[in-house]
Amino acid sequence: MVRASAPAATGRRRLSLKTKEAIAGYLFISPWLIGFVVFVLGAMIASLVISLYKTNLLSTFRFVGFDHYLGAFQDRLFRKALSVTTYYTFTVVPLQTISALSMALLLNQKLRGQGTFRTIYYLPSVVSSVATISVWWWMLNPDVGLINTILAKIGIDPGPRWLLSQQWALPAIILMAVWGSGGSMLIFLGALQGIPKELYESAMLDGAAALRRFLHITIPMISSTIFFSLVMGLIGAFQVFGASYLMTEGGPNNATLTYVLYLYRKSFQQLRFGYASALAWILFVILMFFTLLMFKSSDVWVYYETELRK
Amino acid sequence: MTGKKLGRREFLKLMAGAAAGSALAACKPQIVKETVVVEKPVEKIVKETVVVTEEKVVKETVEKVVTATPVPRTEVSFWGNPLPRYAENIARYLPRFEEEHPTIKATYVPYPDEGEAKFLAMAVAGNAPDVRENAGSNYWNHVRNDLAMDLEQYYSDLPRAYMEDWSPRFLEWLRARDGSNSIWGVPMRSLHMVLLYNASLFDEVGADYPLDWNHDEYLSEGAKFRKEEDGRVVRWAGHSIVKADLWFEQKLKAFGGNLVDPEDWTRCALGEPESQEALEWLYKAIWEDNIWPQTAQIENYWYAPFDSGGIASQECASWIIGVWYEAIQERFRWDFAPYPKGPGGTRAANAGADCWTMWSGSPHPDEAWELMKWLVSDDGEICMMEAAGSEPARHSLYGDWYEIMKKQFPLMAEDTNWQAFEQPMAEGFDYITGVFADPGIAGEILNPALGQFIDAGEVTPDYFKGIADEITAAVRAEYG
Repeated sequence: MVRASAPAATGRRRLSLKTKEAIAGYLFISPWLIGFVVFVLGAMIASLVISLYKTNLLSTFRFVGFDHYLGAFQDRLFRKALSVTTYYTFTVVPLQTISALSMALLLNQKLRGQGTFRTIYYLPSVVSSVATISVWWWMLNPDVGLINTILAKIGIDPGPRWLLSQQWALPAIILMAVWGSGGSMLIFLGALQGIPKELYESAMLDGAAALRRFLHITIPMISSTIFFSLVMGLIGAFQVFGASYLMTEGGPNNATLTYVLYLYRKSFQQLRFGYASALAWILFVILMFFTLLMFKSSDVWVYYETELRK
Repeated sequence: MTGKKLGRREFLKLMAGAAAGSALAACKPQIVKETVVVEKPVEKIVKETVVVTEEKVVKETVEKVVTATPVPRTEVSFWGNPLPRYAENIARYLPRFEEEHPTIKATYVPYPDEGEAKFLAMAVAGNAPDVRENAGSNYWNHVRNDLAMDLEQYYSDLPRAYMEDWSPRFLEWLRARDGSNSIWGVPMRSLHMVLLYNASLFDEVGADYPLDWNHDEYLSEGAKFRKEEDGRVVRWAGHSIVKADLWFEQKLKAFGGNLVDPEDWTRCALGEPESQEALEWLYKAIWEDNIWPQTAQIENYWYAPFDSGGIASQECASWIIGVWYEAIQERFRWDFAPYPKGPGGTRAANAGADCWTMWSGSPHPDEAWELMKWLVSDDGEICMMEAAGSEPARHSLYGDWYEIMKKQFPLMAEDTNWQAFEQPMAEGFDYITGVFADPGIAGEILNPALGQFIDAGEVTPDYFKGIADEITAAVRAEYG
């Protein structure tokens, strides 16, 4: 009797179309993914490990656990750097946003020479930071600088000692940062130009004044752009380095000692890489906290056209 | 008709044959042509019967046999002065080193921007330069972090004449502070602090040249130079970059004070009476009498207007001579004087602390040491003197230095007191920059305080008593 046998099982399982497409997708993004894993994620993990050691990365590797994290809050200069940076961030970001939005609103008018004005206002953000700092260094000179010369003409003489004064050094750097808000201005301009004109026409037909139109149409319609600008501004401002490094070296008397400048000193000047790595992770946590806070708050005030609210 | 295809085996055989043939060809000694310049007698008929023989320089092409297999050479590199003239000198003189050491190939790299960060990254990566310039607190930073090779085993290889020629204070400074014989550097050059002064301006205001000034005369004579125009001060008696710790310490030393306790590098000596006296002098000069400019009064604190006659004198070292010479030319006469004396009539002049060090991870320490020996030899010193104008580390070479300076600065070849630069070493009042056990921690406290004192005038000398205690406590907490 011949027993019918089942067909021989095949050696390989055939992949479904979905799996094949997923594999293809990962292969396409693999260059970026490999770079991210190696140069970003890998570096972050290495930094986390280093933060648990007292090390100069050359000859000394002593495990200290979380001592660096706890010790940071006892460090007078760490507290100073954190307070300086926090003050800088929560002053610069609103000022930059208001300044950029104001310029965008002005440039959104149909005026002759609009292109020229856009270029002029955008130029500061494309000038190299070193050149910008050199120019502002001269402008802020208490004796011969342009700013104090103008102030003297309007009766404020002697003017502030700016970078040589503990009281005025940080405001001077903030002033320079606000001057460079041309990049945000362009983003706001794009958002303003994306607002449907019909909304304004309907509002005008209903008798809405300019301020009302601005508050109830313009702001809500560009709220997502404002949100983006605030988040990116916050992250960038907390990492300010160039101005304090090149203009004041953190002085006078640590009045402009920013967080990243302090971190840089600890790592590359004093070779305290363990402590510096801990500072970097503390900054990461702070930024995550504020970013998440802003994302949470966005449910209340940010409007997305495609969003369906409950 | 089809041709026979070249099979895989045939192709491989062909390639192997070609490779073997190329290798054999490469091994064959090559004949190269080289042009050499020789002097040879040449006969010239001047008149019919008169034959003159004269030496004439001609170029001849000769054939030399060069073996295709080069002698293996150990490569060592060094970071040196980035001035173009130094690179030219090295290109001229370094071949002599390689002739004397045919198994060593030395490569010069100009000291790069952000050199410290780069060096650190290269050290971690394992390819840092074998030898490099180093100085001051950075030298001790390298020692503390095991970046510098202990050269104790090599020092006995140095000519005895060098050991006797270098400043004993410099050699002592380079040595370990724990009483051991470890030493990590060799002296590279001297940069003695002197007083540069505008002799024409001194003549104009009727002041005596500061050849033997003490600090009281500095203040009293200094008042003659101060000049105001339209409510702004446009001329001062002197200037020094006292915001930088090297210059700041120089002023303290002149009064018999110290920044760092010479016997204990964990202790800051700013609170001592002599240091306080120096601080009082500085405060008076800058903020009371204003015979020295305040930071905001001049455009560039680091290069005061000596060349434009805005400053009658400047405390500095020989590295600035080239800068001022280019700017001043023949506009006025200027000269050098020894650093003004302190209250007790004593003198002190900073000699800099520039040295050569070897990277602790150098794969060829013996060869790197040979290069270091050459760098401190006459040839190596001349490279530096001609390029940077800086004085030799070895006292016996000051004669060469004078000649080099007179040649480079012909307008100052005569009637110029070049000896002011040698005087500190000759008379033994040179000293090397004081360094804290942890310069980074000390600097974090000292630099802001200096800014408040020099830039802003917000604090008085008393303030530094507390700063001294704070620095001492912080350094001892970190260093132990």
